[in-house]
Amino acid sequence: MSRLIKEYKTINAQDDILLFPETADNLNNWTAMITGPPNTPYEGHDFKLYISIPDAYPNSPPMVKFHREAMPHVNVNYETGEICLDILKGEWSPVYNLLYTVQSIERLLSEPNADSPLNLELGILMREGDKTAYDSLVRYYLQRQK
Amino acid sequence: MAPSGRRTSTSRLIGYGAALTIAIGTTAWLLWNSSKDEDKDMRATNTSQLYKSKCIIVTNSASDSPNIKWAKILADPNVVLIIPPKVEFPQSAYENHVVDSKDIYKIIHCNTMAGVWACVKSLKKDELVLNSNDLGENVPVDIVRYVKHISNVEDMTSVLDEVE
Amino acid sequence: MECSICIEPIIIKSSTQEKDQIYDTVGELLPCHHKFHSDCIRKWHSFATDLKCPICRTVSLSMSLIYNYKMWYEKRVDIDLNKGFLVGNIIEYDNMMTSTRETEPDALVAHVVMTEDITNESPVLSRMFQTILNIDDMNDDDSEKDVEEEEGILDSLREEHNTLLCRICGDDTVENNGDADHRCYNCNARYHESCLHSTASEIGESDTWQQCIECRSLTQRIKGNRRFRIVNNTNTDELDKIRSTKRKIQEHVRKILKQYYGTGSSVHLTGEQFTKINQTVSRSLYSMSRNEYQTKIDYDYQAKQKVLHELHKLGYTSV
Repeated sequence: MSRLIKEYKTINAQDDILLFPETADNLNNWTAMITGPPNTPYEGHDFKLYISIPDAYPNSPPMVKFHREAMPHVNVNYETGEICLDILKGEWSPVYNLLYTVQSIERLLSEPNADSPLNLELGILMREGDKTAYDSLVRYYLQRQK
Repeated sequence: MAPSGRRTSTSRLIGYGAALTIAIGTTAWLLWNSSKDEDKDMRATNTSQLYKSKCIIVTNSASDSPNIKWAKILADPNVVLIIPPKVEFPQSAYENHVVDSKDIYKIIHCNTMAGVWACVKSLKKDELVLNSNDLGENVPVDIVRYVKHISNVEDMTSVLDEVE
Repeated sequence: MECSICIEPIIIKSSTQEKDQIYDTVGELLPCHHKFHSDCIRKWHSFATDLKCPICRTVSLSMSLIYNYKMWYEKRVDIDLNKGFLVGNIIEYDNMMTSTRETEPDALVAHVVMTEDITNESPVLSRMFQTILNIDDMNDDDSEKDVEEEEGILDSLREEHNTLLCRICGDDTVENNGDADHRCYNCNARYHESCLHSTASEIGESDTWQQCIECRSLTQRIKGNRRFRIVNNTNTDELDKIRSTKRKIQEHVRKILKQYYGTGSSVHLTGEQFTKINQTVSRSLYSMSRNEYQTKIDYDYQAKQKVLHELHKLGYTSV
């Protein structure tokens, strides 16, 4: 647990990232806010991430999810918010931390990966190379939620 | 009594059949009906009650028509327009095509036909409205699993009137 | 230096640090040379599906353990990462050894307690045991040689201990009550029967579960082969007996040896020669006594004969 406390202190010192434990006395559940990267259909939208820390952390990766039906993305299950990202699974390393994890998810928004689709239709659009349709459809879902 | 009799037969179909049967049956029924002018009003009432949300593939005959009130259609929160490749929409030349900027997101542009069908599947709207002659290709067979009903119409103007 | 797994500092020996500092045991992955606390990296290895370095993703072929004990030198022990999880046990074992060593030097022997007749069953261990006993007394001048020898003994003990660890789970096979030991008669590797079973079913070869993982020979169940037991510092009766035997024998040897040391003696021994003879003779007498003070033995006589023999070897033929 001391490793999480250390992370908590370093994250607190940084102003430009929104990553905080849900309550200050329980570091097992965290929330993060990421901003849609510019020049992507996600621009202008903020997304909430729910992070729960397993007992074996940092030997086991943190479990991270979007809110359900909030993230139209080829590597996110739209219904559940589940994320498919290598570092959250087999490519996890104990030298990664929560900040790095959140930043990687933010990067996933501008760099979707067609090889591991959790959203089948968006996966087809990516494989077909139909970026216009991909972006339009993502914008439709994001706008509809408002 | 005749219209009421037809309604009963539809209900019976729903009662007996699986989703596939419903879709095919209803399509056949609608196509048969669309040839009869006098039944138009009745059918319009029916479909708008049955199918709340619509996904419309806008093809040239529709996008070129100055008569369809697109702005009004798009104001409906349950309507999405899909624009296939090589179709221009909205066309500023037509007054009825001026869409409120807050509704622009409901227009999905595609560069490929595979993209069009992927969008249809993703959206899972109750009713899919299209003109397959215009489109130049057949509706993929598995689309019936993603929409409750397909309206394949010759004249989109007449179909879209009912949205208003 | 910081361990990137726990983000705590790694404390290693440097000239600026105080003498009382407790040093961390460092695990250095090879070939990439990235260093972590040995506990941290081994814990990760037990979670990871491969042996890639957490920092650079290079596949690790082996790991060096770097120890820094107070007065000892930095010492590297190469660990074959593909041979189960032995490291944790070595570290535990060494910690046990060193922690007692700090509190009371004699207690080093307390961990190894014979439960069976050592002279018949385990001559190697018996010899090691006696060497430890003698060294404790020779430590008066704390020479480098003694430290080296002590390290050598620890190494052999470590080796001896490792041969008793299950090659699959890395746990002590003899400590695990109720679970049968399996031993490969070809390469002497030990296994828990349950570990052999579960591994065999994992790889889908449940028919050949009895085969040794390392050499594919047939393993056999062994019983009652607990040659030694590692216990906490508790068995004081046994320990007292060993200590008193050792002390009594030492008294005889020193009494004889003092006649040939210092002014007025016809023999001029250096301190080093004195220590050497003391050590050799004591060891020999101890071996003769079979670890117990024997009233039937005339220790003065035996000691004198052996001391004279050693002096003769040094060229003092007239004494």
